[in-house]
This record gives sequence, C-alpha cells and structure tokens, in this order.
Amino acid sequence: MKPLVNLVIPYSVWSQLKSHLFPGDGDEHGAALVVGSASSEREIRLLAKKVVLAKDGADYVPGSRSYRVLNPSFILQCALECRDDGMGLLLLHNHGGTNSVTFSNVDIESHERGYPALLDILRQQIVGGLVFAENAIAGDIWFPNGDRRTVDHATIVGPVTTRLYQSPPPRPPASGTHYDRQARLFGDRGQEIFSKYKVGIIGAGGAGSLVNEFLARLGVGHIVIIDPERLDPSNVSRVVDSSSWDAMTRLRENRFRWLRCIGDHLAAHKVSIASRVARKANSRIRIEPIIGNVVNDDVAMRLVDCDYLFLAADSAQARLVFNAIVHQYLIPGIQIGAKVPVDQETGVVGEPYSVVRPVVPDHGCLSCNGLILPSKITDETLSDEQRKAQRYVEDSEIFAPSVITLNSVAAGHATNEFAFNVTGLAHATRRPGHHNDPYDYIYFEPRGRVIRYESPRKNAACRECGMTSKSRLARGDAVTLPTRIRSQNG
Amino acid sequence: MNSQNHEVSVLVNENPVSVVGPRIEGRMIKQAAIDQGVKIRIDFILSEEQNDRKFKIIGDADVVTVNKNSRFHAVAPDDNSEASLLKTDVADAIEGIKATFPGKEVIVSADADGGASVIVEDIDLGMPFDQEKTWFGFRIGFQYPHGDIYPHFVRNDLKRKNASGLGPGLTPNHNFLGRNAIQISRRSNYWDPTRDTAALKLLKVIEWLRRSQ
Repeated sequence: MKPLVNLVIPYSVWSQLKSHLFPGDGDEHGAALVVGSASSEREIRLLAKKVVLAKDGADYVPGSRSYRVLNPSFILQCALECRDDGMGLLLLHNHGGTNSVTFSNVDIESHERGYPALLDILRQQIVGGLVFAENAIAGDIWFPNGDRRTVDHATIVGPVTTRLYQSPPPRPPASGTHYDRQARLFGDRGQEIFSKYKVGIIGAGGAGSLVNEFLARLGVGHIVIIDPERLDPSNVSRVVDSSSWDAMTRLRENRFRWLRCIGDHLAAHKVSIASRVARKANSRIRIEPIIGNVVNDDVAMRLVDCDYLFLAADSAQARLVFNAIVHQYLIPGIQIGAKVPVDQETGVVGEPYSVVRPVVPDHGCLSCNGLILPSKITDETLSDEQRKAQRYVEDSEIFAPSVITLNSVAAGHATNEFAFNVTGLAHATRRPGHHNDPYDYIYFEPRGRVIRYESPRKNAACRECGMTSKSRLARGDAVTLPTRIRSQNG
Repeated sequence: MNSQNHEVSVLVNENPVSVVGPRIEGRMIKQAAIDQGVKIRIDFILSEEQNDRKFKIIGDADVVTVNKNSRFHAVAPDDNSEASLLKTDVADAIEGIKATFPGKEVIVSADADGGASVIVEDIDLGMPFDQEKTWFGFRIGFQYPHGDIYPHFVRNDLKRKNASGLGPGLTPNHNFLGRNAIQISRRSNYWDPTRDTAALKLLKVIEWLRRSQ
C-alpha cells in the first residue's frame, strides 16, 4: 500500500493562511505554500515553510475560464523562489463550505494544463494544488517521478495540534475499559489519536523512563526510545521498574575486577527496561528500543517520521540533533530535565529545578535561546583521552545530584503537554488573566514552591528555525542532520 | 532564411529549445518549445528571466533578442472555481460565445448550481432601433446543453425608429443581473443538444431582433 500524503503546517503559517482565505466575505482567495518533503514507509510529509498570499485584484483576478485565476506572474515568482531554494510549490485557493471540500472540474483541468510546466521549472521538486474549506482540505500533488497523489490530511502543529481532512473521518471505535477513565477526558477520538501516534524519546534514564511509562499507559501506539547505556547501580533509584538485578549491582560492586567487568557487560540496557515497562502498560504497543546514540545518523533517522519527540538526554549534541529534527521535519517536541546545580568550589547546592521546554517549529528554538552551547558540543566530540589531554575541567553536572521526584515533575508536565496538545484540547493562546503563553519554558523550583515562566526568543536569521534560504526549517529530506556519519565510526 | 539568422539554443522551462535567432517573436519561442516536446501550450504566458529572479513578460507579438544564455518560462494561469460553479459544458459554452463574438466584453456570473448568467456587451442592433447597440443577457442552465437558452434580455430603453411598440415577444421592465431589461421570449421548439449551442442561439435571437417589426 502506498504511503499517505500528509501536509504539515506550522500554526503561524496556518493562522496567516486562514485569515487570508476566510476573512468573512464568503469569497474565494488564493495563495501559495513553499514546501519541503520527507518520505518514509509510514507517509509522505509535505512540510510547509511559508505562505505567499495572492493579492486580490492583482495576483488573484477574475478568470476567463473560471471564477478566479492565480496570475501567471504570481505563479512564476513563487516558482523561481522555490526552484532556487530547492523547495516544492503548492498553489491553493478556498471554496465555500465548512467540513468538506473537493476540487471542481475547472480546478483539475487547470492542474493538468499547467503543472507539467511547473514541474519542469522547479527542476524536479514537488508541485501541487490545494483547496480549503474552513475545516477541510483536498490536495492534488504531482511528484517529479510522475506519481500523482491526493492529500490524505493536513496536520497543523503548534501550541495545539489540529487536523484537516477532505471530509469528516468516520467515528472512532469505543476505547474499551482499559482507557475508560481517560477517554472521559480525551474522548474516543483522542484515544484513537494516541493509538496512531509514533513518539520518539531520546534518553531512557530517569526522566525518559518516566515519559516512556506515561506515554505507554496513555495508549500511545508506537514508541521509539533511544539510549546507548546500560543501567548503572546508581540509576536504580530513578529508572522506572529497574532493579539491582537489572544493574548487576552485586557483580559490579564486587571486589574482584573481573567480576565487575562481567557485571558491566551483563547489566540491562536502559532501553530494554523501557521496552519491558511499555509492554506491561500496553500489550498492543509497538516499541522500538534502540541501543545507540542519537548523534549517529542511522539512529537519528529513526526519528524523522515521528509525530512527537521528547528530549530527556542532556548532552549538547543530543540537543542539537533534537532541535534540528524538530525544525527540519516540523515535528513538535519537548525538552525536559531536572538540575541540581552544585558549586564546584564551595560544594554549595543551588536551587534545584525541573524544566519543561516546548520546542515547536514556530517560536524560537533551543539554539536561539542559547541552550546549545558550542563549547559543549566541541567538548563532547572529543574522546575521553583527548579531553584529559587538554585538561578540560570536568563539568559539575556529571556529578550533580539527580532525583526521581524532580524528574517526575518534568515528565508529568511534559506528557500532559503532549496529551492535551495532540488531542486538540490545549489552549492555543494565552488565557485571559494569565501571564504565560503556550510556548513558554516552565521552571518548577520545589524548595521555594515557585513556578517560573520564560518566553523563548526567536532569531529570524537562525540557521535552525529561521525563514532564510540557508535555514533547515521544513527542508525535510533535502538536507542532512548535524549527525555523525556512522560508517566512519564502526 | 535571412543570412543573419541562425539557430540559438535557449532554455524554456529549463528545457533546451532550438530557435531561429537572434531576434524572434514570443509566440515563435513558445511554438518551437511545443514542437520540441516542452510541456506547455500556446496560450501560456511567456517571460524572460533576468537577474535576481526578476522576469519580463514577453507578449506573443513581442520580438526579443536571444542568445545561448536566454532563459524563458511559460506558465499557465491557475484557474480556480468553486466545485458547484461552472459545469464543464457551461464553461465550454462561454468559451464558444467569446469565440463567436471576438472583441466583445463577456461578463459571466456563476450560479450556485453550476450554471451561469452571461452578458455580451455592445452587439450591433441594425436598422429598426434608435439605439445602435445593446447588451444581450441570458442564462445557461447547469444542465446545458440539454436545456434551451431562453429567455434573453436587452437594454430596457430600446425604441423603434418607426415609433411603434416593441412588438410581440418583447416585454419591458424586467431585471437581469441588476440591469433594467426588456425580455425577449424566443423559445427553440426543436432544441437539439447535439447541435445547438448558446452562441448559435444568441446569433439567432440577434438576427430575429434585427428583422423584427
């Protein structure tokens, strides 16, 4: 069966487009979307980078063959930009109606007349047409290889996730007793959404193991969890369902070195424990435990067709790769962590906190906000020997305290954010009387019982999330991730 | 061939096309591209690309100087219509009217059910009337060509030179697309959907009006 076509649109792009197409006049309007693409066995994703609005009366005018036409000058201007940036072009307009839409014969005839020429101009990028009703979308997508597909649905990603179909999808089956209590909140539709979601978790330590259990119990249908490490005895206090047996504690604390080595090699991998936990919580789950480092290209590529990502690993390199995948493939994500800062010189423990940072392709990224330190990336690329030879001071975080209760605050809040976001229940904008925005980073400080919000900033020229032609935003398969080429490292 | 003319390879929609240069009409560039397999049609809009993604539209009759670096694009307008507007046969009928009355403005107002109301401006009336020209309006139903095109409408102030009344088949003070109008009732008793068209019916009605007493 051929993969479906899913158009992914960031919330800010959709807001702009919706206001233009449906200003309340009941008339037709036109525009164009500049898109990247990403293909997997699961689906073909068209990734909307930006919208170019067609001005009524200039770019969108009465037609001789039809009610309205997109002016060839407008089309050519968009096409040349897409050609030079290696992006695809979707031309679109709206019809009346609300929950269903279809192309007219005039629309289809126009596609067949004009799109072969556009495919040539765009040098083998995707070309297509879209038509919208207020809550519906239809699409006719032409691929450079001669394939032609309809759009199955559009996914709008941002502070809340919504979906558009050509006509309302059939009513989902009842959730069953297993999820009865939560289906009373999320509905059968929400439960169905969970079951169809593929979620990636980077890091299976304290925070990641909790996220894994929460998602599995929510009913998420497919989890990919990545971590290279085996369980250490010091992890048992934080990794869900882990035991001293998993950690081979007795062997590893033995006075004989050879027994300690055996223990090191027999300890369970963290992802194996996570897999066990997920299957206990949901026997129907599809869980992919990956023993590997997300910084390696073959591992990172396992995440590019996910619907949501959790970053629960704290290396700068992992942040860089996660941040890149979010923006290159328009996959919403959330970075979580807990920190107990300790002053290296005095040993004084600072304010411990749990942190949740939504990272969506709309509102500034980890790089814009100084959360991916170039110096740390450089450090992390060195081997242990190289690091010692250059006498880098050990990062205090390596020995920092780590506590399950701090991790659980972050993990619980993050999975709540996920659950309400993907089921469409989250608020898209700031609520009246409140000071925090949906995109805000949230810090929980337990000692002072304080919750702090921090609004992320966005750098328009950012190479990760900006709108420039050099940015990786919405580029999909067209550019490589900032990962290590696996073949060179065995 | 002019001894100064020579073959030049240009790009049309990124495809190499051989044309007779150095000076050539826009239409000839498009025709050469079509002949050499480029997927365009003769009515596409031709543009010549310049620097920084700027382009200049080249009309069919415009003559341009070409060289091996010339890059052209031929693009069609993207026609959009609501699904319930302008059934294909109706759209074809309108095209036929435009072809039958070249140079006359044709105003189309799509109905919600796939038909259209049409006005053709500035039709010559001939001798019987004080006015030289009138507009003609009529509706093409969504089931065209199976339904007759009937009635037609013209300007409401039409007056005969002989000061007689309008005559049979003509009734004043109707309204068509917001215009005060005289209704012309000329039903076709033998309408044949395989042969009759909206354009042909309009010609018949015009002829009838010109000959009417």
